[in-house]
Amino acid sequence: MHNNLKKLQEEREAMLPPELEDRVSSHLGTMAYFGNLIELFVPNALQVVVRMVGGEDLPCLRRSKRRETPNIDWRTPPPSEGPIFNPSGA
Amino acid sequence: MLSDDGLARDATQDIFIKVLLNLGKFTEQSSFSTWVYSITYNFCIDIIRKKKKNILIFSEDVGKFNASVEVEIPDSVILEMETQRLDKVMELMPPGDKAILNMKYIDELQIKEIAAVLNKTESAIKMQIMRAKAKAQSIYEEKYGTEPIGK
Repeated sequence: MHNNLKKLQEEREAMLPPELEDRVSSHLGTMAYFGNLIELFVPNALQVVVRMVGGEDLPCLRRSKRRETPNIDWRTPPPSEGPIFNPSGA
Repeated sequence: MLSDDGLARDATQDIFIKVLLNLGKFTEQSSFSTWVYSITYNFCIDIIRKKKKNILIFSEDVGKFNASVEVEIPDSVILEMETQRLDKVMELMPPGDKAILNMKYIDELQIKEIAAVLNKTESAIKMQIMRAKAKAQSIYEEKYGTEPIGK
């Protein structure tokens, strides 16, 4: 069966200027570029201003607390549970 | 759907911004395209309602089509209509009917997807499609008399 509704749509689309799609995608590209720039630099720039006026770190830029390193004495060997490897055979 | 080039361009821009601003509300209950479709449809219907306050969105509002709902109307009523006449007929269709026919026959959405877009049940959508076809047929007959629909 023919689909003249689709044919009509295709005819309308063919009437659109061919550069329209390129124009839209270039606009999108520019917007995405500026979006990325803003996302990258605006929080850091704000952070600088906040620090200059004596404020605290912005919550979005606050680094997650690193795990505290356990206090290990590297000179004493760990308690072994299995057989001890002794290459000299002593 | 809006039948106005300038209005459609403005709507596209507004819908694009609306989608971006509401991305966080997308819950993945439907596919992304269905979600965007739904925003677009509702936005366009709002514009149409603002433009013409008493406009009929669907032909179900017209009493005479309720009686003819029982009759199954073949797809060829729409799909095999001569393109220029089809264009005229579509211009005269209520916006909701036009949208539902576009979803079904141009974008080839499934009944389930159309139901998700319009927030209606699948059986309601089937009924709506049938009514839209009946409306198209009646507009054709009003305009071109009993001339055969195909070429």
